[in-house]
Amino acid sequence: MKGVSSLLILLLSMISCAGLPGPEPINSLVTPGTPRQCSIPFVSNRWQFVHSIEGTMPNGRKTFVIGVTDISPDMETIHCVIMTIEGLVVFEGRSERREMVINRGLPPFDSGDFAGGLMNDIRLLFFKPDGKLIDSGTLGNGSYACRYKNDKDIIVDVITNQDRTWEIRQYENEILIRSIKARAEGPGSSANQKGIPARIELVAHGPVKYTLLLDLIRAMNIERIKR
Amino acid sequence: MPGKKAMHAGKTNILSALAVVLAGFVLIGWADNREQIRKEAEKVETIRADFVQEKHLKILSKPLVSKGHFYYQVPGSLRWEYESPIQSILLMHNGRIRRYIKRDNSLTEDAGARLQAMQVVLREIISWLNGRFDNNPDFDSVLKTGRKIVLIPTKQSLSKFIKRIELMLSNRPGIIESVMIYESEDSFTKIEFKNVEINKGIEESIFREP
Repeated sequence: MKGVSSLLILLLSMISCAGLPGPEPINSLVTPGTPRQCSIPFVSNRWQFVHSIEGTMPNGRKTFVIGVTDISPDMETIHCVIMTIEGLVVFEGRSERREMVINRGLPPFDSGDFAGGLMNDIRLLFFKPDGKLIDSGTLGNGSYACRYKNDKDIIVDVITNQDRTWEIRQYENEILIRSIKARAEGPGSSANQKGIPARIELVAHGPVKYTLLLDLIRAMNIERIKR
Repeated sequence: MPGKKAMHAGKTNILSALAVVLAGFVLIGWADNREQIRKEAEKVETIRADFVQEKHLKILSKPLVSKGHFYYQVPGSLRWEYESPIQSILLMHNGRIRRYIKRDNSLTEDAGARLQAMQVVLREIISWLNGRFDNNPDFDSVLKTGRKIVLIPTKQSLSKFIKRIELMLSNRPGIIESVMIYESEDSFTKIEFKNVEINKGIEESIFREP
């Protein structure tokens, strides 16, 4: 009996890890400081983005909202609003140096868990990973990878590809928990939106798998407007 | 000395001006009391209009503008179609509500739970279009001068999210010109209706098919 349950546990752990490989080996290059490629996906000053967001839930059903995100990487602040296409605000929250305040939340967007997960996803999308750069160099396919590790042993790989796309992969205990794919800009992007992805796809892996597809409606450099 | 022709033209101008002023009084009069508003609204069987929606939020450096088309047919069929910035179609027909989003040239049905909340909002809009502003116990309605109706939530569960709704009636009887939905003083949605056509035939499929 014990043997059967051990086998079951082994099988379950194999299933749960299947398709979620650990970090890829990097062919390290000796580069002093932080290579320029590591910063390409991240904005350096205050920006405001408006996205249409398609969410695919664990049951495969799709839902659509509009997201407004105001981020300031220097101040580590995120201000986020989620509303229906008709304009009804269902969530508004702020995160300042990881201190979170929910100003408005309509069920099911009113829970602290939802807000915390949302802020973590926004941080992963737009902020340079926290922790130390532990490795950088090329992957087998020629893409450039930068590997960060924080004090909670979370590993984040930032991968810039030669076709102007980039990927971010986040691992916990060497298991992939988030993956992001983005393209620098779309054909209709304005000069103000250069370098800002026209489409981003975020996949949350694990038992509660969901996918968010973000299409850029507009991007504004708030610092530039202020000047 | 002005000639006969000139005098005739002068009379015509005065009569035209008088007609315009009189028509103005008659039209302003349609929104004087609830009963008149309801009576005029009862004459409306279909509405087709374009709309411009402005979302104002404190966070937004400039309002988010959406544009689209609006169709209505008595007793309760609606098509609320956005053309930009996101292409979406909200249909309400035979008590059923559905929303479709166009992305990458294909339509996807929205399965979000918020559609139930939208159903409440759409039923309210249909009540307004039928001239019934005091039908819903969830709102107190006040008819103000200048063809304005203000709806204030009576329940705290609703007032937490909507502070008030202001409906601006058009000078054309039976027509709503704009809707302002205040979630707070610095977060509100303004919907303005333009190119309004009433009682022109609309195919039923408009409300049935995306």
